[in-house]
Parts: sequence; C-alpha cells; structure tokens
Amino acid sequence: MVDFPTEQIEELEKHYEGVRCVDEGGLTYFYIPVLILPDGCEPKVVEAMLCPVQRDGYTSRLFLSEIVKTPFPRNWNANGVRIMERQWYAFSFNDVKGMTLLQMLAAHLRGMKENR
Amino acid sequence: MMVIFRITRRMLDDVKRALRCPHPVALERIGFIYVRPGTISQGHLLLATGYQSVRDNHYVEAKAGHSACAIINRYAITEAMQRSLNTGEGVFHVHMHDFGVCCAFSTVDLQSLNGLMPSFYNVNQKVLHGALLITHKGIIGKYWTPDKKSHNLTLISVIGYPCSYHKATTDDL
Amino acid sequence: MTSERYSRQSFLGEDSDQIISARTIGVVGVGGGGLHIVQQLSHVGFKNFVLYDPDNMDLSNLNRNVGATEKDVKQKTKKIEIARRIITSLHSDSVIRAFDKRWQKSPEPLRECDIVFGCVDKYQDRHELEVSMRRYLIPYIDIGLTVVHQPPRPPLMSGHVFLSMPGKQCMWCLGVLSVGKLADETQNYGDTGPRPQVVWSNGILASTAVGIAVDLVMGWTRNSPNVVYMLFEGNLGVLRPHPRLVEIDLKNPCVHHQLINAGDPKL
Repeated sequence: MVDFPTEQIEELEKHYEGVRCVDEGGLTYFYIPVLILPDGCEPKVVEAMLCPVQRDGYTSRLFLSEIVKTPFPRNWNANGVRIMERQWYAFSFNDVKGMTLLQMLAAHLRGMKENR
Repeated sequence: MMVIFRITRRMLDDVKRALRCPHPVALERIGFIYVRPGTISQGHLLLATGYQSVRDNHYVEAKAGHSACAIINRYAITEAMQRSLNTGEGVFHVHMHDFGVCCAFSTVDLQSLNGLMPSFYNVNQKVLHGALLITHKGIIGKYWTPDKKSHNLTLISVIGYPCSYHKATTDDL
Repeated sequence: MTSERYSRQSFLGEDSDQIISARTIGVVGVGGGGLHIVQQLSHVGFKNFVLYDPDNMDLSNLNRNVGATEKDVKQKTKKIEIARRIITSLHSDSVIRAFDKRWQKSPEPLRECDIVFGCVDKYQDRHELEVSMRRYLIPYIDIGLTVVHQPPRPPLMSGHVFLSMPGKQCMWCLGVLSVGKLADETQNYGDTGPRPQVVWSNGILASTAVGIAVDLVMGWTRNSPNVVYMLFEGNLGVLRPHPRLVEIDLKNPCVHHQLINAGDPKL
C-alpha cells in the first residue's frame, strides 16, 4: 500500500465529492462516486476507481463501473475486473505517471476522447 | 436464520491470553470482539476484525454475596459503543469459563447480556451484536436482535491450521 | 465412532466422518483439476458443495476431466453437472449448489464455504479469488499447472499447490502472483493457444490439495505450518515444498491483506 501526499488527496477531494482511499490486495485505489465523463461519452456519469500505482502492466489505471461508449474506439481489456467485491472496466491506456492524482485522473479522461 | 461467525486462530489466542490475565477484583475478565458483516445468500456472516479488553479500571468490585464473577462499568460499555458507532463494527461481549464443567452461559451471564447487548442497537443497527463464551470444550455464542430476543450462533469457525468448527448448543442454562 | 464406510480413514480422528460431512466446500472451476478434487473430496466424505464453472464439455477436455464421458461431449454436458453426478453417486444426501457461471456473478454462496479450492487458469482469477477469500476469512487452496514450450529443449511442466490462510502470507508474498505475471497476462504475452493440461499432473496437484483440506479440517498430522506452498516439477515427477519457503521469513505478517478489511467493503 502506498501513501500519497495529503495535498494531492485533498486536491482530488476538492474536485470530486465523496472520494475515498481504499486498499485491497496490496494495491491502493481512490474511489470516485460521481465521475463526469468527457463529451461524446455515454453514459455521461459513472463511478470510478483510480488505481494510481502499477497494476497489470500499467503505470496507473482508471476503472469505471461500466463499459463506456467513447468518441473513438477503445480496447476495453479490463472487462469485469473485481475490485472491492464489484466488477470494473478499463480500457488500455498506459504511461500515465509522474503526476499528481488529479492530473493522473485528467490524463485518463483525456485518453477517453482522443483520436489515437 | 443461519448466522456464521468466523475468527482467526491468532486473534482467538490473543483473546484467550488476555482473558486469562488475573484481575485484582474481578474473578473473570471480559472483552469485546468487533465484527464486520459479510453478505451471504441466506442469513448473516460475521467476521471478527478486532478485540479490545475491558480496561482494568473499568471493572467494579462486586459486593459480598453477589453472584457475578465480573461487573464492568458504563465506561467500558461506552467505549465499545463508541467504536461500534465510529467504525460500523458489531460488538460481541466475550468471556471465558476455563474451569470445571461449566460450558454454557450462566443464568447470571444471560440476565446481564439480555439487558446489555440489545442496547448496542441504539448506536448501530446495521450489524448483529452478541456474546461469545470460551470454554475448555470450545466456543459458544449468541446474538441478540433489536427485539431483545437471543438466538444461538449457527456456527463458529476458528480459522487457522487446523481450523475448528463449533456448532450451536442447546446446553445453555 | 467411525462408520464402516469410513473405517479405513479412522486415523483422521474421532468423529472425523461427522466433522467432514458437516463442512461446505467451494470449488471454482470444475475442469481438469476441479473434477479430481470434487471426486476425491466426495470419497473422503465431504457432501456439501458450492461449484462454479461456466463451461460445457468439449472433446479436448476428455483427456483429463475425470468422470466425463464421450456422451458428455456429444451432449455438451455442463461441467457442473459432471461434478454433480460424481458427488451424488457417492452421496445421495449431498447438498450441492452449482452455478454455470463465473463465481463473480454470484459470489454470496461461496462466502458460506469452510474451504474454497481455486482451479482456474488465469493469474487475475487467482488474485480475485484470493482477495475475496481473505476478505471473508476462508482458507483458499489454489492449484495450477503450466507446460512451457522451450524448443529445442523438452517442454517444461510445473505446477503448484498453495494454501492461502487468512492472517498468513499470501500468494503475493510468496511470488505465486506478481506484478510481472499479471502484466504479461494482460498483454497476452507468453504461450498462446489452448493451455496444455494432462490428467496425471492434475491428479497429483488435486490429491495434494485434498490432503491439505482434510488436514485443515481434522488436524490429523498435528502440523501447523505457517504457509503451505508445494512445487510440482512435472519433468522429474517430484512434488516438494517450494524453495521460496526458505528464502522468506514466514513469520512476517502479510502486507497485502489486512484483517481490518474483512467483510463487505464499504464504498
């Protein structure tokens, strides 16, 4: 389990109400109860689990409560990953690292709408 | 209703060690085991997540002729209630009859617990509260429902190598 | 007192048949390894099962799925039904809850089990099972077999049996699971195609796992190991305690699963 600087957590909490840090299986996650997705995504609002540490070969990952329709196709290679006794989904998007938690989340959200 | 209680052997050993410590005025020691619930298909699953001994200075010296082996004061109860309120854990009163052939809750135990354990629902209604008794034969336990009725735990599982399994008994006095 | 049926295993301890028959066993994956496990557990006297497998029998399973027949392949019998058939043929009074789906879709019955066996293919599945079983304080026994092609050398067969006991070191602590292994799996690196599996190796792993479970329930060996982690070297036909057991201080607590996280998660 990794400790994150308090100011990073507070910054995330300031932007997203109800954020909670949870630990499971040796990994740290930040649960975001209400995450508004970029334009062109459907649904528009989901729950999310930000994993800001290395997992599954990714430097960080953003898991969503459901597979989301994005403006451009994405490889949803985390299709029903179990975290905190629920199923979560994530598309392949790597090398998001060396940022604050909020910046990391923003980078993953940008990855949802970019044409790659 | 099926109610399964699970505790690791390591925690149970810690509990036993704590309950065996002699006390200046009480004949028995008392503690509280804290539990978190687990959703199962039918019934309840309770998982022991922590233990707290009643502090030495939270025991009350019994008057001569009193049949109770240990009496705890309101600070002990408040402390347990506060933890339940803060963490959402359920509370199980625990003591030990590590002597003779007494492998059941005594009449005095039950009279006292019937009054005490349902009161925990005043602070936390989301999880069951109850009591365990550790004896030389094993462990028995009860839970109370908010209507103040007591019921036997269906199964108490001690998780370790090896495990041990203790089913409900009807031997209570 | 042991009945006539179990008289040959009375050494397991007093009332062993009653104690064993009262237990509920979960088996996730009733294919090559899982069917062996179910068969042996039933013979020993376990009667209450929770089973998960979404698959039906196909021809490629017939080389190793004990209890399965050619008719099952023709009829595409569900693997859970083969397991059910095995159990009920030995215990007409068995209680079986069988789900033809992944356990994650219906996890509640699994949490009622006294011991859970994981006979799954992927590291991710192992990880998820271990996390959940730790959360609900259930001893979890994992088996796995791999055959790696390494031309020009012969294929390398190896397997493991791991007991993940709440409070003790886990598969992450001992390297059964690692960041690299899960990463490779996510990226689909390594051997591709159907996983090689053979009946005799599955049988060795399954038997070992069943032996661990019986000892967990009965304590007949009076051993109390901190960790049980067996390595099967298939090319040599050797099963032994994993070398990592001497490399690691087994008294260290597990840092990956903490007791305070037991129970339903709160989000």
